[in-house]
Parts: sequence; structure tokens; C-alpha cells
Amino acid sequence: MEMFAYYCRLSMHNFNRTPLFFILMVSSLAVGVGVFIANLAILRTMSSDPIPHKSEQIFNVSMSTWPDANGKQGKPMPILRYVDAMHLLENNVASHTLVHYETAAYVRDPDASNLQRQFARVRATNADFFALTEAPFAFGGSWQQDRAQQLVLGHKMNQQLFGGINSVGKTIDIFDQLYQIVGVLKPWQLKPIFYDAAGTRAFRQTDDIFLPLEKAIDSELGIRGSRSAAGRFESMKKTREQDVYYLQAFVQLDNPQQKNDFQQYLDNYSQSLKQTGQHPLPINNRLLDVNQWLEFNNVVDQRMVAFALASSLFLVVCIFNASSLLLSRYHSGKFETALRRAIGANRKQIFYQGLIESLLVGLASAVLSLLLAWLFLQFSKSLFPRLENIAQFTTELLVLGIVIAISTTFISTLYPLLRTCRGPVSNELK
Amino acid sequence: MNIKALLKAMQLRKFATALLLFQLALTLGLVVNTLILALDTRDKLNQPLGFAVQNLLQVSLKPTSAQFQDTDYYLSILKQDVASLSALDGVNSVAHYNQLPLQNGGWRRNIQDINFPDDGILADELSSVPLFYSSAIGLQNLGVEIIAGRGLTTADDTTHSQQAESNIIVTQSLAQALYPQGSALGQLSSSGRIVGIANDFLVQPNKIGRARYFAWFSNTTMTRANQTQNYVLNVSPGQLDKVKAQVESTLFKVQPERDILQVYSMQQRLERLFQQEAGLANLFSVLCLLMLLVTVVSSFAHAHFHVSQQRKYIGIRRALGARKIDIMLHVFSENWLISLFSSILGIVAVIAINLGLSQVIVIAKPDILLFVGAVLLVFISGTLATWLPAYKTTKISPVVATRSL
Repeated sequence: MEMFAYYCRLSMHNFNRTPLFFILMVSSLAVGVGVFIANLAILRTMSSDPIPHKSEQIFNVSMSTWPDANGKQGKPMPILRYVDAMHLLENNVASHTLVHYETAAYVRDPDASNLQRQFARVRATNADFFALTEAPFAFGGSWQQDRAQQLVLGHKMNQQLFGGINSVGKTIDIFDQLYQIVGVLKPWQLKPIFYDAAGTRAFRQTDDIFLPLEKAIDSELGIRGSRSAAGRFESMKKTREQDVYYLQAFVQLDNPQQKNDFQQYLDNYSQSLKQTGQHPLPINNRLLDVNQWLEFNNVVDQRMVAFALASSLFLVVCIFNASSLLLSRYHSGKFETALRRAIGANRKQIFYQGLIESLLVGLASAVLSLLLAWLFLQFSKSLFPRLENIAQFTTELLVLGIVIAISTTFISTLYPLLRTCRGPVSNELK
Repeated sequence: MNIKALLKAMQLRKFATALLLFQLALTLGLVVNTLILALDTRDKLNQPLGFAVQNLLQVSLKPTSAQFQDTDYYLSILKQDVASLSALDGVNSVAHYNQLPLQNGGWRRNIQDINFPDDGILADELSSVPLFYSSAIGLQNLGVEIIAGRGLTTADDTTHSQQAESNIIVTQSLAQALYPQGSALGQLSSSGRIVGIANDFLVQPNKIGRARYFAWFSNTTMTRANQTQNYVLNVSPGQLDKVKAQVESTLFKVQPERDILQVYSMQQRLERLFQQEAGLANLFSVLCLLMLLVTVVSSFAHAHFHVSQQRKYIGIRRALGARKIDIMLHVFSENWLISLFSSILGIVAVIAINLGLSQVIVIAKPDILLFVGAVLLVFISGTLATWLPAYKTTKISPVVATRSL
């Protein structure tokens, strides 16, 4: 312990003697680690599992029921027709089944004196949505009837409209229709949002309002997500009969047996369509679990992966740089080391002293690198506004940053230090 | 210059030299690939668009009240909007659109000749072609010329008769893709009768080849209250900012229950479209700069190391008659030699990084000119970094030689 304190003092003495070298070394390592950590922060969020305990049991349902053999290559489509989706909801195989589409509305609290309406992203879905996604309720619960003029409010919208109180029982005005609030969610983070993961949608906030699907269609709330139609459709109500593809479906299947049964259920349905001549494409129904589904949607931005490649190369260069700086410094400190050896310090002690010095450098660069990582994250956000909801600093990353900074310092110290320890004593003292 | 002596001197510190070599090679690799990305982004932003981007102002808005669900109400407000925006000082014309050019995704549909066989296989590029619903002046308003046939007229309006066969205008590339053998004019396609052919203009910049210019126009108004409405204002040169400031109040004067999402120039739209690409190029540029900085530090450290290690030899050389300038050149040439070696190694790094990046993003192949430029950059920064240590060598007096003997 005594030696430890002595080594620390010695290191401080060394820092003071050649400050430029240490500043250069610490800052170059810190920049390398900082950029690396910032990139890691983004990639980790992008590639994280949004619902880890259940991600292998939740499946996206894609079908190939397009009514026209022309144009489409028979790939399964992740959007379904109303009739197909309704058939899915009737299954008694899956533990939970949800279908949904995204819409939007301008809403207000009918009791408010302010006439201003607020924009709300609306998820039109069935009541099983909440059980499958495990959306956390703060107050109340889901609606009970498909056509109920009721809704569930997201945490943020409840804050905006009612200041965060228990608003169950109150009403909300959506395009001049009054809907009763039956449930309010707690703050709900889902990254990525697996149930609507196409394009850049996966990293938005969770929805503001959840409405019964049938009611939303009856109220002519239009489709905001991807849709495909075999012909023109005049109204939302018409989508119930026409070939308009817009509903996404997910099922929870707890074991392989259930999964097989469900696949069979889908294929039987397609077969029955085929028999009546309504299924011109080959039957191709696909179930992908949450992680497969996210991968299918390329949720991890490939640009960030490209940058990860560059930033890890940069980290390597920074380690090289620190190493060559240290070589140069140890070289100029040769005489001193030799002197210490001559008056009794053994190689081990010289090595320990060097290690402690590198630990101190590592700590300094860890602090600086975290600061730089934060700055770089802000910079990335300004370049990519879409990262706003993604680039996040967690404690896990904080720890990781410190570990990386110290270990890279250690790696860059290793060779110069070994050389110093091995150096012959007599030569230098002449 | 004694290259042999230089090489020998470098051998004395293999490790440090190897470190610098690798570092310079990696820097070169990154610099070249960054330049590729940056130039590619610039090209994308400067590609010919084929329409009057500079003079166009885009407004997108959404009705917030239920009244708009009534088709007649929707149409009457739209008519008033167009009339009052057109009346603004400096505005040449105004039209509504279901979607705008310069986009990815959006409203698309397959298009083929009406007699296309049911079991025929439609070319991929024709299976999703952007469709535009606008007024009769939709194309003129964007500054796109009709090069064959006629433009659309108010008589072609199919807003109220959606089952009727509509008259459409297709772009030149689409016309060629649809009817490679003869003229598309007068033909009946699955989307309507082709009455005119318009000049190509950039619709979907991220598509490859002629599909970027595919589009067809019909004179129709969509009246869905929950869909975003788009107006494009064709403005006289220089009036853009003045008009932009008046748009919101003009629209609110017609009907206040709207959410005006965006008012921006077509130029900004183009920039936003490539925001991700530009962002990545910028990110790489910053990293590149940092890397060059680190390399400068390393070159400095290396030369410094050299000088401190070789004090004795330099002293001897000075004592034997070498001039200050010779010693300086010696230090510099060591740096240049390392840069030369690393340029050779850098070719490998450039290709390796390029291959690595091409696994995840679209990136062009490196070319020799960029490589030469990057090598120059590394040479210059290396030389600058060596300056101070090299200058210091001149301070080493020949006496050093006698002292250490």
C-alpha cells in the first residue's frame, strides 16, 4: 500500500515533468474511445431486444393473399386485408393475437376552454394488443367491445391533455366525436417498436392514443402507414370488403407445437381461398419472431454499422498513437529508470510502477472520453435528427466506457513498458 | 541522400516505425473512403432535376376538423386556398398534389398496357410507378414541359367521376418503358388514356436508372380529410422568402382549422431527402479530421523520438561536417520514406475499408485521383508535424559527439 502511494506520487511527478506528452496521450485515447462509445450507444439501442422475455414467442404474420398474380412476386406481405386479419382474430391457437393499423387525429379535451386541437398518433387495434405487448397500465384497462366509443390514452397525451391525473371516465373529442377514456398507460418505452417496425418507424415514441379497430374504421380514420390496394377505395368502411392491404398482425405462440398449429391454421385458410379461386399466388405464409422481424426490417441503420467500422479503426489508430507517444517518453526517461534499477528496484517493481501510471492515465482518459462521447452523441443527433429517440447514454455504457478506456491505455502501455523493464542498466548509466 | 542509412536508422526502432506505418495506412484508407462518400453526396445534391426547383415553395397541411370529411366542403376550401395563394404578390401559379417529386415511397401503382396479358410478367420497374393527382396545371406549375401531345385541361377532371376512363400524361422515360416499339401517345394504359408526354424530371432519386423519372399525372383531387394535402407555389425568382412568410396567414384566413405541417422550398426538400447521406458523410469527415490530427501527433512523436534517440549520432555527423540543413533533411526524409511506404500499404487499406463499407452501405469504388490527393494530404501533414523536431536537431551542437565518446 505504501508502495502504491509512492508509485502514484512518482507518476504524478512524471506527469508534471512532461505534461505535453501526457495531455496528447490522454486526449488521443479519449477521442478514440469517446467516438467509439458514442457509436456503440446508438448501435446498442438499435439492436436491442424490445421485449426480451417474450421475443421468441411473438410472431409477425405475413401472407401472400394478393388477389392478382401480376406484378407481385408472391412474397409474403406484412400487411393484410381486413378479411384476412379478421380470420386471424378468430383463431383459437395463439395465446394472444393483435391486428392494428396506424392513423392520426386532432384531439382536444371537450371541457377545456381552449379550442386548439393537438395532433395525436393513433393505433387502431383490438383489445388483445395490451396483453400481447404488455403495455403497462397506470389507470383503468382495455376496452371490452370492438365498437366501443372508448380509448386508451398514452402517458404523454394524458400529461398534455389532463396534466397526468387519473383521467379514466373523462372524454376526448376526436373529430367532433366524444370517446370515453377507459385506460391510461404508464410511460412506455419500446425500443425498437416491434409491432410497427418498417422504415424509420421503429424508433418513435409509443403511440398517443389506442382505439378499437372497428370503431376507427367506422369513424373513417385513415391509414397512415404502408398500404397497398388492388383498386381505388373510397372510404375506410369499404376496406372491409375491398382488397386493401393495411393491417399488421402479431400472434403470441408459446411453444413450437402452437407455432406449427398456427402455421397450419394460416395455410388451411389460404388453401380454402385457393379452392374458391381467390388465391392466385402460391401459398406463402410466414411467421417471424420479434428479432427475426426486426432484422427483416433492417431496424439497425446500416450507416451506423458503417460508421462503427470506421470508429473502431480510429480507436486502433489512437492506441497506436498513444503507444508511440509512450515509447518516446519512456525513451527520454531511460536514465531515470536505469538509476532506479541500479539502486535496487527490480524489474517487477518498475513494471508495477508503469502499470499504476497507465491506470492513472486510463482513468483520466475515461473521464474525458465519456465527456467527448456525450458531445459526439449530441453532434450525431444534429446530423441525424432521427437519432433523437435512439442515442441514449445508459449506466451500462458508462461502465463500458471506463473499462474500454482503461484497457486501451493498458494495451498501448504494454510494449513500451516491457521494453523499459528489459533495458540494460549499465548502458544508460555511463 | 543515403537511403540505406535511413532504413538502418528505422530498423533501430522497428516497433515505433511499424506503428506509424500502419497508422498512416489506415488514415489514408479512411480519408479516401470519406472523400468518396462526400463527393457522392455532393453529386446527389447537384444532380439535374428537370424542373424549376429554385422557384418552388411547398406547403403541406392537414385538416384538423371533422367538417373536411364532407367532400364538397373539402373541395370548396381547396379551391379558395388555391385562389388566395395565387393572388399573393410574386406567385405565378399554385396547384395541389397528392404527393410531390423528390421522394422515396409514396403513392405508387403498377401500370401497363390495357391489353397486357393476365399471366404476363410485368417488369419490376413498372410494378410501382409514382402517380400524381393534381389539377390541370400540375405539370406546368412544377416547370415541367409537355414534349408531345397535349397538357391536361379542366375537361379531364375526374374528381367526381372516378370510374370514367381518365386522360393521363406520362413522363418520357415511362412512355418508352411502356411502349418501347412505338409512340405511347393515344394508347390506353391500365391507368388511363395517354394524351401527353412530359419531359423527364427527377421523381424518385434513390431508384436506379430510368425508373427515377417514372411518373404519371392525372387531373383529379383526392378528398380524404385525414390525408396530408400538398400545395406547390410557383414563385417569381427572388420572391421565395417574401411569399413564404405570408403562406400561413393566407391559409388560416381561408379556414383556420388546419395544421400547417411544413412550408419549405423544393431545394430544402432535396436537401432533406439526402440528409442521412449528408449526415454520414459529415460524420466520416469529422472522424477523418480527428484521424489526421492524431496522425500529426504521431508523426511528431515519432520524429521527436528519433531526435532524442539519435542525439549522439547527429552530433557525430555534425562534427564530421554535416550542415544543419543536411540534418534537417535527414529527419524529413525519414518521414517521407515512411509516408511512401505507408502509401503502398495504404492501397490495401483503402480497398479493404471500401470493401468493408460496401457490405453495409452503397459506396463507389475508389479511384486513383482521390488516392493521390489523400497521399498528398498525409505527406503535407506529416511534414508539418516533423517540422519542430527537425528544427530542434539543428540546435544539437557537434560538441555532443565529443562528450559521449
